[in-house]
Amino acid sequence: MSTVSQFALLFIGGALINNILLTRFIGLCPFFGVSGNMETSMGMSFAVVFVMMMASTATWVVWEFVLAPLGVGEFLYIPAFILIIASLVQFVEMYLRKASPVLYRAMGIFLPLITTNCAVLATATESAKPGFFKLNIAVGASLSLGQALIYTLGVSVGFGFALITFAALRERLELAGVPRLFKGTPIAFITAGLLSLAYVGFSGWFGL
Amino acid sequence: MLKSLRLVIAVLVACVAAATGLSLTYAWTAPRIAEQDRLAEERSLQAVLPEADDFTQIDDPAVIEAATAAAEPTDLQGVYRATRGGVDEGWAVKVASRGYGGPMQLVIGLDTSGSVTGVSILAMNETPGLGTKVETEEWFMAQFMDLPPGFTDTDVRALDSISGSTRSAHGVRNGVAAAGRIFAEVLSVMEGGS
Amino acid sequence: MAEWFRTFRQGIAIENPLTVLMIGLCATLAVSTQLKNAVFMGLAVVFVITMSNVLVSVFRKHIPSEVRIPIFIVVIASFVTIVDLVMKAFVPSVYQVLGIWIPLIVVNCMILGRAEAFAYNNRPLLSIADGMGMGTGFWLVMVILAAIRELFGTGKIVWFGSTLIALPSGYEPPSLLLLFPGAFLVFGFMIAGSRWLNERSQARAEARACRR
Repeated sequence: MSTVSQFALLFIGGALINNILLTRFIGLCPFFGVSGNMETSMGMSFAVVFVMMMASTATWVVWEFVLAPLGVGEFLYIPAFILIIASLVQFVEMYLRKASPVLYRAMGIFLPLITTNCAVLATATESAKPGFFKLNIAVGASLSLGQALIYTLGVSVGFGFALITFAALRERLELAGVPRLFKGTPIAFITAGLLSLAYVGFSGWFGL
Repeated sequence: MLKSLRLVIAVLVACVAAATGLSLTYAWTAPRIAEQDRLAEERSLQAVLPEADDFTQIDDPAVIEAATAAAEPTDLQGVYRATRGGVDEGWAVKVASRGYGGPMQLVIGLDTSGSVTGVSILAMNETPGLGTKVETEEWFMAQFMDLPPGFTDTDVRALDSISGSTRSAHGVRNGVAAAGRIFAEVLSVMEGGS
Repeated sequence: MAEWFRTFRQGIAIENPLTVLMIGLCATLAVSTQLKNAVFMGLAVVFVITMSNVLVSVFRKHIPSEVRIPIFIVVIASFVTIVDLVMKAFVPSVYQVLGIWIPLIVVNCMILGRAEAFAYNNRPLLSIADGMGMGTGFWLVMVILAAIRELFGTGKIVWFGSTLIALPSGYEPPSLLLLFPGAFLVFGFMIAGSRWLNERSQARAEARACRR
């Protein structure tokens, strides 16, 4: 397979076919937590793209040059990766607050929330430790740093896309006549179910 | 200064304690995990070639290279030569094929003439109750055994699928088709070499 | 003792992590395709939350508050890894299905939340009650969801190869329930149902109060 088409597959596979929110159920807390409002969804999506890219780079480097050579990856990767991500997010937050107040206002409040977001941990782990996720894209192969980053970009863009679509749907729901018992969360879940049904349609594209 | 030293020590102590505890747990469980993996592999090899009493993994790089190329679009994970009392019984092929929920690890057994003796699933991630029908619906697995020796992709494609688990069934069929191609490839390389 | 039981019950009903607080959804929805998986996943979560609560509570006087979060994370991640390795070694068939969800327990906000909000400020014994209560509350909802999805999605409930309950053979199971969208749909209806139950019991309590 040529490099370009493999990159395209990694991106589309991560963004649509294996959409992390709607077909893998990963990262649902922010999906239901912030989707009530369009603006916060945008901020969250932006922050997720940013953090995921950094987290994947960091875990890939640590796995490749520290954990794997030392042979301790099998049992230390969970604490190591989560600590790396948590401290990374903390440093970025401190740096942004000083260096770029504009950027900090746009996504600063979302950064701490993302630390305990399973989507970030799952994607970073998949990028570094191949086969963790059981994805169709990388059958048995480990990812190079470039592939890992393209894949992460795909996943995070897919995350943002799904989140923003869902926020738009929920804004419309505010105006709809929903039975009293279903108002709020229950109808949000049912809507998510229908949206997820649409994503089932992507499965099988390009044989993935 | 003293204060921040205390903080650093607290975190360090926690990390060292955690790492020690985990390496002890790993030392305790690792042999068992390896044993479980070995058993699972042995069981699946035995299931597809019940007559054989010994399986040797082929490690000749020329054979592996040819077989890997023949396995596309599936991913070759191992070729085994099965013998019974030193006499050739057939071949077993381990491949990872794309299913619905991710790669499925399949083991396919072939007798010396090249017809399928059995297919077993070593690992899969299919939807329980739907995709897993490939394993529970017996007729589906049985139909591979009726394939003629030296079967081709077209023969495999003509077999029935399972409604509601098309993608999973497709994954298994791709695996079997790959096994057929690998069989032809391995034989020609080995004969060419000797 | 009474306080112990009150803390335990709190997690199951009043502050149920799933239906009331809406945390830890990911794993619940993903593994609830089969009762068996949900039971083992729940066990893993109860173990991790109870153990991390105990450890945090025992050492709470020695953990400086400035670095408490990283230390909690290390504690939780270690217990998660222990569960991961032990399951892989002793119940490989279950581990294979739960797969990535065991490592992902580490980011279940519920566990970090309980360490921070409860165990860091309470005695070990009470922290056990809190951990077990919260864990059991999580477990119950997940098991009910899984039972509904498995029973109506496949027509029967299977436990390690033996069928526990089966619907009449004329029943055509809608496979939608087993697929990803089904989890969202069933869970949406479950929340609406639990709301209805809460409202009804509240209305009854009010009616009783009025009569007096």
